[in-house]
Amino acid sequence: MTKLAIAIDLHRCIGCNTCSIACKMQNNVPDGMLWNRVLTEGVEMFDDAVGVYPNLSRTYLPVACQHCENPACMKVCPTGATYKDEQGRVEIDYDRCIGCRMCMGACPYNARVFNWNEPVRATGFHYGDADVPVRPRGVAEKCSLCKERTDRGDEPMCVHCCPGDARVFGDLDDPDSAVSRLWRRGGHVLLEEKGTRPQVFYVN
Amino acid sequence: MEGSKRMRAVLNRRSFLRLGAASGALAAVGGMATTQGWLAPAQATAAPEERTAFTYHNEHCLCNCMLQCTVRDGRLVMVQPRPNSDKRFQNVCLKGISEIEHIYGEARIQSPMRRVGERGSGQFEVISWDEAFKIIAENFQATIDKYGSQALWIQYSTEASQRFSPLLASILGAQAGGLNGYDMGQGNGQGQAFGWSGMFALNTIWEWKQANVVLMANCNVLETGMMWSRAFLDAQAAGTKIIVLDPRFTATASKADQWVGLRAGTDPAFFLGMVKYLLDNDLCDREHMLAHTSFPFLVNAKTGEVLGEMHDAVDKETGKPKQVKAPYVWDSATGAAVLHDTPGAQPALEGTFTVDGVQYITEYDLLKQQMADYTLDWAEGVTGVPADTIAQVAREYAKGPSIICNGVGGIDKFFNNDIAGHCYALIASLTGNYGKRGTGCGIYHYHTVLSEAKLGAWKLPENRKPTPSKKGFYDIVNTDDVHAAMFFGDIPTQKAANWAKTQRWLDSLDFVCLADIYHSSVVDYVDLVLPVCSKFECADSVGGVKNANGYILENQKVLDPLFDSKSDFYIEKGIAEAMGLGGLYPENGEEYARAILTTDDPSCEGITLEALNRENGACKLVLDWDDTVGEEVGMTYATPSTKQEPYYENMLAWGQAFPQWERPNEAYPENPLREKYPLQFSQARSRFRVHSAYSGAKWIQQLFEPHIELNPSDAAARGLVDGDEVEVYNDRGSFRTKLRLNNAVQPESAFMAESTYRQYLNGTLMQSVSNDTMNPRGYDMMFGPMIPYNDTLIEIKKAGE
Repeated sequence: MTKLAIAIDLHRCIGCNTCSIACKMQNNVPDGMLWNRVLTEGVEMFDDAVGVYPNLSRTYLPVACQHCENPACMKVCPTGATYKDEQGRVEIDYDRCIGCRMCMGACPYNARVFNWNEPVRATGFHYGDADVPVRPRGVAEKCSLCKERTDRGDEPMCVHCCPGDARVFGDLDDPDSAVSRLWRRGGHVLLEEKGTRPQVFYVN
Repeated sequence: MEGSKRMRAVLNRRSFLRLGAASGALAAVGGMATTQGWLAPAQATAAPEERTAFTYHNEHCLCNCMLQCTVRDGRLVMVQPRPNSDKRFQNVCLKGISEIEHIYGEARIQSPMRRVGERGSGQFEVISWDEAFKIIAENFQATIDKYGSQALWIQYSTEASQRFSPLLASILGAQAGGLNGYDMGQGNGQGQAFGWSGMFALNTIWEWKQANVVLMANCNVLETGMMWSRAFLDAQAAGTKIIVLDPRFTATASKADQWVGLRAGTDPAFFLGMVKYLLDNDLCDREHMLAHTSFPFLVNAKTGEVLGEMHDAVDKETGKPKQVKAPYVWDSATGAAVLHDTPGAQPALEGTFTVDGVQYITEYDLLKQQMADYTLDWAEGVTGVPADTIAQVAREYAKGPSIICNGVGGIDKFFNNDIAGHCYALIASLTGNYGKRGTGCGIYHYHTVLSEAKLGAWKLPENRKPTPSKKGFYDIVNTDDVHAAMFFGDIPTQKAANWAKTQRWLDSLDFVCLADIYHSSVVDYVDLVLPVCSKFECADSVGGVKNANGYILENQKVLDPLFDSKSDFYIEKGIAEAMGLGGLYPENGEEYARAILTTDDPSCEGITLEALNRENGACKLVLDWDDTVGEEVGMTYATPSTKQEPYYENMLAWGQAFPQWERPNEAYPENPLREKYPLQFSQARSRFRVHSAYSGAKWIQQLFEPHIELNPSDAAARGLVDGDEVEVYNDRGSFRTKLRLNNAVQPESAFMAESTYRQYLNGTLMQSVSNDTMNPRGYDMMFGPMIPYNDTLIEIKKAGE
């Protein structure tokens, strides 16, 4: 089996947002949307810090679809549009998505965005990977683990572009892969108590 | 939009179409055509046509990321790192990728425009390039005829100039801004001690792994030069302790092993406190001082003059004869003053000696006298950093091997900037932290590797050589020497503080022209606006070549010029042609590029345009040595004695032969002006800008909107809450923006990421409040004085109150 995963080293994440913009480009994500966001843990404003000056700390936290082994979004999808594929990725069949947004309510990571209106792109044209399907109005979308790239054997664009080498992509079912080694080194997941068993995990 | 529809109906080519200017149309700022209106539909025919081209990105962050660009149906659709077996140079950041939208964005200047309203009104009419060139030629010639060529000012910013060195100022004999006014203050202070520029370090960031401590002084590289972050993180992983000095808890501070939040503008006091502590506790490296520094040299106990004899020498740069002082030391073996390099001499590091009836002491003893007042308690009082912390940092730094890495902001934007640099050199010399592996001073980012190629140039006739101005832009705005000006990029908001003064100067000019890619803040204040193309666009197959990061990089054509834009090369050429001087220019980009690549530097052997095209836009220099770490810097320097010389005899008149504390010009705690304006105001670069560039990039705007930041305690004291629209003001002026609260900002200060076009700040400019008082001492230094942008006090109130 294959269980594709991303490990994110939170010390090496410098909060630059290159992953967010690389993802936006690759996946032709429309204006006003991001599939991949960088949060600052414990505060509302990006780049704020926790504590009282000068006793401060800050952790940047990139969050996208966690490609859960037990995806809450998939369970509630009435049409089977959201599915777990053979490589362990959580994907959306846009043709089957009826826009009910049950998945958005179920996802504890707030990873999904929705095309309320006809998608607008400031460029006036489609950008990114030519193989990425164009999503119409009325469907949910999210990180696909760069399906089109990973199908070709490439790493996801966020991994490819990360200036700090904070992201590692690989197969968790391969015990010798870099992600497996990082997991064994002490990976942790977001909201473990939800029982979703994410395949995106973090190391400090 | 009817016009746009018609345009689409007419235009059916898939490549971009450059339309003839709609002559006579009134183009107020907001009324420009949309991208879709200008450009033919992207998917006009069946099969998409996709190709790849290579270039490199913005050199103003000095990363020079090598980029692989995908163009589909004539549109830039992907920007990725150019594949490279050396992963250090396989980089891109959010700004590079955001160009996909940015270059087509609404902030682009699309056509040449002539002002039709008052200056500042923003009313322009679209004109043709021929008309524009004619207007410029006539105005330039009139100025030259009436006042001489030096009354013409032509200056270039990195953003709006492409890849070929500009020629126009040289050809016309115009002033081109000889002094910078920023980034170089610490360099002014530290270069002399080690006989180098004081700017980029002579070893590399990849040597950080060999240091025990890296002390980063006001350097936020993890935001401002992201491609260097891997080396920072890898050094930490290898066990190097990184200590960041910064008033603000920056991204870099939050990733450091230790952050020291000192009061802004007090870096020299922090280091003087360290020096005094090291001297008191005998933590300096005596062996190093005796062997490799000027500390044993004798100086007159009363005047500070170095005892020595004048020797004939040759100036390495000019080749002209000069006199150099050969200093004396006290030889303990013979009990006499002897030349410092006398074989067998045993120099005394300490002591008072009489030579020919005059009392002399060693530089080391003089230092101890002069540092007497800089106790840890004093340093704590000035910097706000606990004395114990200063002592701890001093001990760890002295133990070494240690590096001081300075940035190009922070203390550089205060009146006392050079003193900080001088302190770095002093403490490094005292502790043996310069010259050996794992030691050093200088800028370690924004930096090419150690291999620099000597490239060729386009040859101009002897009488058309550059005439660098003796003055900086910050000086010229205080004079009436200049009567006509042309800027490539928004120089007037970037190279001078106190906007009201700059605006008065702009208004005084007979003619002023701006060439820029985007609608930057200065557009509205000029007579003529020219659209420059982005670095992804050029008319020729090549838009420039340069040496960076140990490579020769090629700016390949990715796109034809968008809208009705031209590269700065063709803008210059067009002006020169209109003045009858076009023959001095290369025919096209290829000819210019070939001239640059014509060099006998062996590291460039075989690097031709053809080779660059074959290698996807980048050829590594041909070197027979490892340029990752390079040679050890060593213990021989281009100083008069060839030793480390942290004592600057030439600065005696300023009382700065050894560094002495000098408070900031305005932003010091006891300034009575604090009663009116209690907040110190810092502006610095962030990951979302390179200075003002990317202000108009929609993808960046989704992540960041312009705002000023206050510590929550200061906001509460003013009854302000997060998200308020505020006015930021002092006696110089004011600007409006949004307030955000951030715990990372030091109380009694405010922070704002520089810089933003005025249309995103309610028509105001943040440079309206900044301090323009230049330190006269700076004029006695290599790079001149620095603009004290952050040595500024302000107050903030809710807008409209």
